[in-house]
Amino acid sequence: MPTQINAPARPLTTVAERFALTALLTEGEAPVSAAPVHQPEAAGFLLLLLLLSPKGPKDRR
Amino acid sequence: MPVTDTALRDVYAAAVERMAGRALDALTGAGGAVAPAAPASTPELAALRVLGPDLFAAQLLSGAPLETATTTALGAALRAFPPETPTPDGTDQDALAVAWLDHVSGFLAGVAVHQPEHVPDSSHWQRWSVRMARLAPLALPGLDGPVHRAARREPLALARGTVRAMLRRDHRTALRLTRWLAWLGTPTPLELPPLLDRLHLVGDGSNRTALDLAITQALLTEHQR
Amino acid sequence: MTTDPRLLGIAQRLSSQALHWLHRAHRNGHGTLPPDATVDLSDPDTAYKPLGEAALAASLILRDGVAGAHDLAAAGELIEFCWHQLQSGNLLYERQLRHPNLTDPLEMYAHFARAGYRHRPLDELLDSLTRLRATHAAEMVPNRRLAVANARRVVGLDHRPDWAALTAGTWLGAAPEPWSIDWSTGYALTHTVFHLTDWGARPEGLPGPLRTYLTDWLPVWADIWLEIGQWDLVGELLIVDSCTGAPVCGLDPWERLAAAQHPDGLTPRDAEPVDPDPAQAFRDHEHTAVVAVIAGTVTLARALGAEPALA
Repeated sequence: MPTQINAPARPLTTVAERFALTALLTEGEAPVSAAPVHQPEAAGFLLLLLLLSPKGPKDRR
Repeated sequence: MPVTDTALRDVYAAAVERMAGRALDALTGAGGAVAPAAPASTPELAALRVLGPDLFAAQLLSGAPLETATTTALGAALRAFPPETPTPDGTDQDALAVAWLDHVSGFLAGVAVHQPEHVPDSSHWQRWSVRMARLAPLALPGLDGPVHRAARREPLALARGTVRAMLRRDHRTALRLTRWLAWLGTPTPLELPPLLDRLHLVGDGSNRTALDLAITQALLTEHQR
Repeated sequence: MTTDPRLLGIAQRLSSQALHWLHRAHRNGHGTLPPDATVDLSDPDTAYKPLGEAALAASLILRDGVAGAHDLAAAGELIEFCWHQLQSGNLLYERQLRHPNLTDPLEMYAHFARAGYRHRPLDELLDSLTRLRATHAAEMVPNRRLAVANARRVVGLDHRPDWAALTAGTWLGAAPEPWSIDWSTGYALTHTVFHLTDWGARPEGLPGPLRTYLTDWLPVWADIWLEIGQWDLVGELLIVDSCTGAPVCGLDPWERLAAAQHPDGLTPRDAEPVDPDPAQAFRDHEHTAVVAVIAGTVTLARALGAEPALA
């Protein structure tokens, strides 16, 4: 197994290349939070009430 | 120049993905050497630098000797993309994080890279936890030092950072912090198995994420024994 | 951190400004019940509930006794106004008489009872209802059940709830994975603590493990909701922080809330623009003013070790 990867002397990387590497190395947290907020449409209990509320009495002849 | 930088960054990111896939294969026993066959292209060298210690996750987790082809390749990557000199102090926390990754990469590759004098500033748990997330590649068995000692001192700050990231839906950061907690092995206020389950479900499907998940699971299992 | 003078100064000012905003709003005619309001209250959330909230805030200022003379006077006037709106308790009495299963008359009455207002027929009615199985079997969400139990305690009704069982039924009682919380669960959590501790008067009402759980995770919840400007919820979390007796959230949330508060004391519920119509602004942000008032008084009272004047 070769021990020298770069047998000919490797040209130095460019500033742009090093910059791109640093950007990947310093990736931070997600810039915008997606923390939970009020979601009225997700309130299950309203739907439940609709499902459970009894129908009105039928008219009898 | 900015357009070129973004394109270059994307090329390197793609190389990181491929390399992470190789590291994952090594972890699951599926693949061959993590380092690609010589000579490595510039994007591959960048990928080696980005992954750093993670290249050796399979060996560090099993206690096997480090893979020679990969240590050699990482050494070449360190020569192609030299670490910043002088070694950053605490003034620039971003540069300091990179310096720690570089130092540990050097250590594993058998290339001398100066150890920073400072650890990331821990005065605010929010900011500190984000810095520690970047240093997640250090969270592997067989590695220890000032950063690891800081992690041992502040398990609650790490746990809080994890929960914060989860609630912000920054699952990438959350996973990297969960990895630190799994490395710690001490009982933390946060139960890790349900958290890891959740991270599996919401993961972005990338090789990088899959690698972090696999390493974290392995660390957890190791401590559960 | 409990006795950080900067924090206490900010808390005091936040609370006082919000109190005077509420006081002025009521003096300007906001927060009144509609003239045709009956005991059935077609729309309890619009005016009735806010009356109760204003009374709650005022009653805690009077109870804790850590406010300055100007604030104590404003609180006294505010609660008097609310009592008057409720026809000196007659409206509560009639509503409870007509609708025995409703709990809101009791919950509202507790705030007035706390401040020394009593309605004898209502006391008798509540005593009578306490003797019904039906009263204690009513279905409601766990944190509401705690609200009712605390209201009974404050009013002095003869009933000994199983606090441990009531707590165990709440979200907080399970000490769940802290990353599973959402917005409405956040409010369920805060209210659980309010009632367990009687708004900070009894920090020992919180079991030890739950106190630990809260002190671990409150800073995270405060942080994430601060980041997106959810001032109302953050304010409630700060009340919880003080109710535990071991506050951990630190100065930053207080500073951020104080910065969000308007010069006239209006405390916005979130980062959205405030409606220029004063009536709408009152409806939108009255709750947050109440939260700010309570946050201040509870924090100061716990920090200064004041003995609250329990009914």
